Amino acid sequence: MDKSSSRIFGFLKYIVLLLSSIVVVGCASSPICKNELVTFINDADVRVTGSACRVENGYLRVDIDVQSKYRKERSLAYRFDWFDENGVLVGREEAWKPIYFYKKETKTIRAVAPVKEAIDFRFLFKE
Amino acid sequence: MTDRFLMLIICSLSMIVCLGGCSKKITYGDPKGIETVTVEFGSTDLQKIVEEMTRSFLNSKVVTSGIGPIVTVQEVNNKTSEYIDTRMITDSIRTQLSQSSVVRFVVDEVAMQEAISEIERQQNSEYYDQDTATEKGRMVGAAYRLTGNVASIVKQNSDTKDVYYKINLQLWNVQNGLLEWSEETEIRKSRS
Repeated sequence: MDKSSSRIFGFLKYIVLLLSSIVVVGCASSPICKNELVTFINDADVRVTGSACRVENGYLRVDIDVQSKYRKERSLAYRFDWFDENGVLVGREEAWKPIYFYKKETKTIRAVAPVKEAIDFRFLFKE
Repeated sequence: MTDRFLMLIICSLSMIVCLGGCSKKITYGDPKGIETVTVEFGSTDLQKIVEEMTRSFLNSKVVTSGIGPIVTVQEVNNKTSEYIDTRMITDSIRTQLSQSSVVRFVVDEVAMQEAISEIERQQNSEYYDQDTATEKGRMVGAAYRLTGNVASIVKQNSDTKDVYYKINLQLWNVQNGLLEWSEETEIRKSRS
């Protein structure tokens, strides 16, 4: 390999490194589910133990793991608020949905955003 | 005199107590709140069904493929032992889906007669400018039809009543008869 070829090869290496760092930075600063707000109303004795977000068919999908800390079976309620990239509430106001927990049970609540503009959510839970 | 005065006070107090007890307080409530007045089909059930069905439908292949399906809404059969206005379910689903702008609806069987009457009124009336009057034979046919069932199992003894609802919706391809989408949701309510 002559001098000019190795120079070109070295230059290309830097370009590849630069492009890959842009991709990594781009993924890390993805605005999807940046805030993931959780609100408990009436001191519902539950704990969010995990959450996951992904976009499928253009709609934001959310999985939230909720653990009941009650010593008895309990019927609780939840709903989601959805926000666009400017933090503006999108979609209609959701209805409260009942959810039944056995004692100390952990459940995964799955939700799909009502509109494609939604990139973040607030999870509300109450007794 | 003192007895009369005492009687008057007692009567007045009784009237105040009676009026206070008899008057009912009227308040506004949250239309999206959980309703548990009885175990019968209620607003929370309707809202839960509509939300789940709409979200599932918007994520179905027939919608995400981008073809912009044209749908007619057919009867959702009530197979339960109670009266349920299933039209409320389909009307709400249609409203939410039409707001998404990815699904379009054509006039359904129930509203067809009204649509025909309007066309005939415009066609046969001398008061309409015939250049702008709606023509016959211009209606768009639905490529898909939405239908379904609501069923329930009710168990009851002297202390407890348990109701299980199962709601199933299907989207059928009118042309080839293929089932393009189907979703099911369940609700269990108990009174003890």
